[in-house]
Amino acid sequence: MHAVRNIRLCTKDCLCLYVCPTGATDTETGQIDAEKCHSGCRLCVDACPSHAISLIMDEYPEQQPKTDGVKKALGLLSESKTEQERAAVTLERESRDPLEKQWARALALSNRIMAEDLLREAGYMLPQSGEALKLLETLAAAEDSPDFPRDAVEKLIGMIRHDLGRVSE
Amino acid sequence: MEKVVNSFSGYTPGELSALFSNLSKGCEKQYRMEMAGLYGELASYYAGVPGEESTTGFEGISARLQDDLDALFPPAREISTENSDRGALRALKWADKVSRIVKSQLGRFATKGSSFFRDTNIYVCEICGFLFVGDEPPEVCPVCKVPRIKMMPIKRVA
Repeated sequence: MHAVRNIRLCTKDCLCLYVCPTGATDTETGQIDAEKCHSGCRLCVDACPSHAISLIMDEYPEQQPKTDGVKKALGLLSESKTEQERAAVTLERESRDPLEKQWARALALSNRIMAEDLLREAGYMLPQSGEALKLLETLAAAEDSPDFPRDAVEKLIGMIRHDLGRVSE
Repeated sequence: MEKVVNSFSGYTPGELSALFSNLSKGCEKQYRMEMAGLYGELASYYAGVPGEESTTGFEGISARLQDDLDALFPPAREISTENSDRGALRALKWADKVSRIVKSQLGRFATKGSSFFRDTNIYVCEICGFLFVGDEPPEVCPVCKVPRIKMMPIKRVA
């Protein structure tokens, strides 16, 4: 667990500098030096008068289990929302009218955000979950398009296995 | 409606793009920027993979949206209630509210064309997708209650 600073909330009162035993909070980038930060120390978190510092976990618990019925029902909706998003993206691309383009962009974005939220609740909330790993492994094994970003997927698989404490093959 | 799926994952390319863009955002919130970028690459890849979409035009979007409200939300709510899935019910409530608002705005667009927002702005809530037409967004999102800082202005590109 290490501390991170939300720059938007930080009011530069510097109380985190007073309490940090390692100097990790005093950097020129505005961010806390994760290398120097003592895991779980949280002195800066408690000292900050603006609640701008929080702790980021190195390990997360398993996600809440989802039933097949819920996954399927949410999946029908996320499919529909992304299809509406794609129709809006096409309208945006093909229109020459700035107002119509703006309208189509708003529709596309609204649908994308709804779909993301539905998929999150269908079992893909945490980026480093066993579910995400399984999906990436399935895609890596099945996709054969030359454009498929295989390097990125393999890197992700390695990172998630590391996070989950699994030995990479 | 039959669900057309990407045969190996059970998701369409459009859904995979949204699934991965969401995981990318999740990484950003954990300050895992490298991981966010990798998930972002996947989201962009699937955004470009053609699916078997049949929805076209503003009328097509409107019809599909009506179908969501009539045929997809009610059974999804039912099964999520049966399974006591509060998270799913929360997402369904937000998406249902946003869908109704978008449906009504699409109705305005169908009758008046773009004139109803010609002299004002459009915002989309980054958290729930709430679509707002007006000069200034509300202090908090009426659907998900996030502060206005998360209301993204949609630019008009000439």
